[in-house]
Amino acid sequence: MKEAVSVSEGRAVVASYLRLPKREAIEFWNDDRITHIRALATTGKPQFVWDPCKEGSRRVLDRVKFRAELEDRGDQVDATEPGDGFDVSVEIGYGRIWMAAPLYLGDMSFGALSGVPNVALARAADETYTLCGIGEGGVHPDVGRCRRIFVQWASARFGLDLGALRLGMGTVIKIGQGAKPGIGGHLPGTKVVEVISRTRRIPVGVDAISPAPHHDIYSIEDLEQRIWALKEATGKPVFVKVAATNYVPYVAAGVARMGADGIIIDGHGAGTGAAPWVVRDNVGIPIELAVSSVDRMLRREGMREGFTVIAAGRVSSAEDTAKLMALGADCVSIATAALIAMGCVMVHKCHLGFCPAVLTNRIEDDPRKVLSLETATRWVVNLIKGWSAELKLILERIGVNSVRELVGRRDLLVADGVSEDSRRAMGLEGRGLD
Amino acid sequence: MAGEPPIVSMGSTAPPSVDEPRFILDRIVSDGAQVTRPSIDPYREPVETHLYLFAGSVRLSMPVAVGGLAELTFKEAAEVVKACYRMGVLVDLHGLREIPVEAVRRGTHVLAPHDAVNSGEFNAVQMTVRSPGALNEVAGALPFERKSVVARVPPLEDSEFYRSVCAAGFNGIIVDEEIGHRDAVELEIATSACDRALKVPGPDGLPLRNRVNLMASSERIRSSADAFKLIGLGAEVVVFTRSWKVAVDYGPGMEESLLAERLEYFLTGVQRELKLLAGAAGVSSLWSSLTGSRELFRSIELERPVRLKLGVKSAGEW
Repeated sequence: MKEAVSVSEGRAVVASYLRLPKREAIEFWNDDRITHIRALATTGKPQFVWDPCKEGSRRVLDRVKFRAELEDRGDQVDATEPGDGFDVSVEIGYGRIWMAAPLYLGDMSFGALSGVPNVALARAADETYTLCGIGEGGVHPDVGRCRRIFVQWASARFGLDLGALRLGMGTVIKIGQGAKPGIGGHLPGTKVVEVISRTRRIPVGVDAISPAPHHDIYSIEDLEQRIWALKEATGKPVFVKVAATNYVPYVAAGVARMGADGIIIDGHGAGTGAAPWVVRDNVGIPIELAVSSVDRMLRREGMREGFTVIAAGRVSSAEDTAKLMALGADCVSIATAALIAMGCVMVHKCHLGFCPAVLTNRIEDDPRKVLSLETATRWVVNLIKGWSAELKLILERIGVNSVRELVGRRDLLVADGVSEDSRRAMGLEGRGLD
Repeated sequence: MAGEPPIVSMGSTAPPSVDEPRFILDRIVSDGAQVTRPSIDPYREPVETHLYLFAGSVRLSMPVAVGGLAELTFKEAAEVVKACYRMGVLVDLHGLREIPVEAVRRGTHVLAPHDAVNSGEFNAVQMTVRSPGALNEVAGALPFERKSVVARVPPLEDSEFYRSVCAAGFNGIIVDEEIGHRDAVELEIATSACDRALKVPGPDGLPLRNRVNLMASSERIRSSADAFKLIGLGAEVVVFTRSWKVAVDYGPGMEESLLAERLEYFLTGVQRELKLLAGAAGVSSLWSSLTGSRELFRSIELERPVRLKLGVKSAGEW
């Protein structure tokens, strides 16, 4: 596919996908996954019921399957529209927010992304009645005009004031992220240009490294004070975002007990705009091994009802969504998939500011190439539509009418070639390795 | 930038979830502290990496040592020894034919071969114990009065062997994966086995581990993350024998000053990465809070018998 661009005011406006580069290194977001996401984003139509990309993958979640699929073998439904009567809408945060699909467009900041993608995500969330987390970088003015955003309150408090906090439908206290649990946000100085400096209220050209902990949250009691302060200040639901780590069930129980409306759990392997290599590759556990224990812990403590669990990290398809919900999540967060829908080709160079797909490039006063806002928005809207349709096809296959009824239905899943330890962590039956 | 931990972006492609896991270490992940206990900001708050060996007689700046010097020329070895002095790290001279005694100035922490005990000011010497059967013979020849003596042993699982080494009077053990033995196991298992074996009380009622230092050495220790995990499994010092040569792009005829400069940058970077991992896990001192702290780690899809030997919980277990 040749890069089709139109030229406006001397600028190339990018409205088509780059050809996928040849890849030597192994990649989770491989060509098959990118091709599938692009097909959803360009057509808005379902591509398949059962995700074929999971074959050969080493991820534990890819070895977890719906029983219905195993019974279905050889009977892959072609990409037809789903039947009526399958509901993928959810209510989150004690029923205060209705979402047309259990998809939260996850927490990517203005600065990490170069502006147009931020606006496209927020507009797509408005258009599809989903949600968009805006990340730590303060509020881009055009994002601030969108309704269905979650404003993030992270350890550096970049660009936040009461007005900004009140803009969204809710607030997210960011404690951790899956790509670098225990480490703060990082925007390299080369990307801190004038407009980012103004939005974040930091000097131009200086690395924006957020503190690893919140310096006013050193305990679960401190967290409670912040949750209620934000609730009183905004009158809106407060979510807490954490990384999937060793003690995540305790963390989730604490977060729920302290009055938060939900938790976003970000698993190992999730994307990032910049992180120390050693931390990204060695810290944290996969979301599939975290979400199930969190769900069971919350049930055991009698705090699951109305409390929202959002699962994030390598959510690559409707099937991943369905499986994570069956493991105990109410909703999933998609971010890398949304970037791919907007043209990301996974060159892993966001921190340098030379994104070939103009998503995470350094913002320039007179750019030669910009992303088409209209097209990018349409791609994300289509992605959500296609994704929802695939989710409905899965519901049809597993005999569940609504995703709300799917939450915690571990009995629908089977682990195939997963160690006994991991099976126990997920609460699944199946064939093991041990 | 030289000496800085590299920054990357987007999702990990590391083993075991994406790339193929080659070693047990590839199936072990570290913790991130959050909410119930805070992480430490490694860019702004102190994270201590120093430690003491041999009853406080040696202070190292970090739990990483440089070894694998056998293939180096005399001049190259001298530069490595000086670089390690400047960085405050231990240098393991095992296998070196000619010791650059001149380079070993006061305050340099070296593990010298035992037969060089009288030729210079060495903190500690080492003797190779190739098998449990060879222990008595080796121990009989120990230059005990003068020095701390470390036993270089093959990676075995045998608890009794490690206890016998302690009983023979050694002050430290280096589990060295390059020493072959028919009962050899992976370094991860041997390190953990040694650490656990020595936690039993000795003749004075205190754990043997209190007076014996444990080090792990292997060509396959690739990174600060590998070192961090081995420390979590019980090692106090992890010896890099090959990775530092990759980092400095070592080759025959390399300019010695460049070798030293790059080695210092490499060690600086390793120290910073150790601080990142420690800070993320909420650890403010590697020596006091990480050594043998298996609870800070989880395994992913590691065979259960191996996991139980290591004493590490499985991811999702709490």
